[in-house]
Order: sequence, then C-alpha cells, then structure tokens
Amino acid sequence: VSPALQAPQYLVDTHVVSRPPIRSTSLISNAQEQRFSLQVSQPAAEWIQSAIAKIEGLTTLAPGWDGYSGKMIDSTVAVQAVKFVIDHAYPTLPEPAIVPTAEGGIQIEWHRGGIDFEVAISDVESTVFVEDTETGNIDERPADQANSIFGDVIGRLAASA
Amino acid sequence: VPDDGTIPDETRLYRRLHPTQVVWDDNQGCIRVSSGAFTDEFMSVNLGNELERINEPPTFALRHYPIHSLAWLSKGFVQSHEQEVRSTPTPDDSTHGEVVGRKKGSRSRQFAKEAKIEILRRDDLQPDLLEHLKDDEATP
Repeated sequence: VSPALQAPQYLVDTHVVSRPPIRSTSLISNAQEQRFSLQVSQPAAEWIQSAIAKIEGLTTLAPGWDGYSGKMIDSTVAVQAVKFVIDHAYPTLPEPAIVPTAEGGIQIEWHRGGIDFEVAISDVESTVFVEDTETGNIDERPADQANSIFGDVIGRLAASA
Repeated sequence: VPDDGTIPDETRLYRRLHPTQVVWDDNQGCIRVSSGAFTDEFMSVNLGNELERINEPPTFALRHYPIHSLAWLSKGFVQSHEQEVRSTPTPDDSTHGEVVGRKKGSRSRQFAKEAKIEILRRDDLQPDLLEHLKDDEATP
C-alpha cells in the first residue's frame, strides 16, 4: 500500500503511575493514575479538526432544525461519528461532508472518483452505502463493515485529490 | 388524506433544506442535496399545485425559515419509487403535504440525485462549500 493511502495511525501507550497514598479510607485511596502518550506514526489529514468541529456543531442543533420535526443529534451518535472521522482521516482524502439526518443521526459522505460513499450513523440503524457511479453497482451493509468497504474504494476517492 | 388522484404527476413537491444538507458532489461537479434530507418515512413537503391555487410562489415554503434553502421532486418521480403523496393541510399551511413510504437505503440516494434546488441561500452554506461554488463559477 502506498504511504499516501495509509490510514492515520496512532499508538497509544499507557503508563501506570502509583499515586501517593491518601490519608483517608476513601475507596480511591489506592487507585493508580494512568497517563497516556500518543504517538502519531502516520499523520492524519489537515481537515480532521474542521470535521470534528462540524460534528460538534451538529450537537447544538435544536429540535426542528431541518424546518420540520428533525430530532436533536444524540451525543452517542456524535462520538461514533468522531471516531469514524479519526479512523478515516487519510491525508490524501478531501474533507467529507458531515450531514445531520432527521432522526438524529449523522451522515459522513464523499462523492468523488466515481464513488458515492456514505456512512449513516444513528442510534436506530447504522449503515454504509457505496455506489460506483460508473458501473451502477450499489453495496449497502451494516456500518460495522464500513472499514472493509472503505479499503476497496479509498484509492478512487483519493485519486483526484 | 391518501392520494385520490387529484394531485397531478407533474406537481412539484417542495422540501426545505438545512444549510448542512447541501453537499458538494465532485462526481457531478456541482452542489446537490444530501440523501440525509430524504429519510423521513412521513416526509413533509409543500404541494406545488396548492401553492398555485392560492397564488403563492415557492418562497412561501420558506417564509418562517430564513436560513433554509428549497428543493423539489415531482410527484410522478416519488410515486414511481413506491411512495404515496398526500395532501395534509395544517392550520398554518394549506399547502402542506406528505410523501409517505420507506426511504432509507438506495431510495433516499435516488431522491437526492433527482432533487432540483429551487432556492439556494448561499450565505448560510458551509464555508468549504462556498469555496467549491466560487471555484466552479470561476471555471470558464
């Protein structure tokens, strides 16, 4: 795989640090402090902060935001969307569209290289949808299979970047 | 009220769009509506034939919505995708209707690609989308 098509990679290292004893009978008196270090071995796309800010912005939408009966974006959905963005912030990809849905979900979309790639995250049903606009082939699966489908189309999504 | 055949097939069904529901499609080289705007099983619209009957333009659908844009699909198109179009007037809006039927999956994508943007309120679009529009307009 070309380095340009590698996903951003993070190495999280956990260090357990003993805390000085606390003079109390608190249940946490023997708790240990955990410190994390984050090493980025493959840089993420520059747009990652912008995309996360957009997701954060969606959580402020009021009920009826769509001009109808659109629901507020659930924080659990927003966290899942952020996780998807972090895992798929390939440096060679342009920023995806981040779109709210009426049932309180979030869609993350790329329409590029002859591919329509959409991940719809909601607390009801999360799906990934891919259409090859050149062949008309359509593939729709549960969102937990998004990574494998993404791997099949990343080259085309990034091709004209 | 179920469709009793009095809504002509060519009737435009107007749907409001939040600024975040307009996206850039590099495959088509233009902005378009996201499929996320067409997921409601009971999808509210303004019926074009009813707007004509009361002599109101499509902007009537945006009279209380200063940042929203407006797109439309024809009644014939949605009906060909197993949807029922109903006239469901409300006390505030005699032109209100509903497009009833399951839309998730490829159907909402078909709606998104077919939808025509009638009114685009550019000032409230995402900044990166505006950049695409500027680039597109600058291309001879």
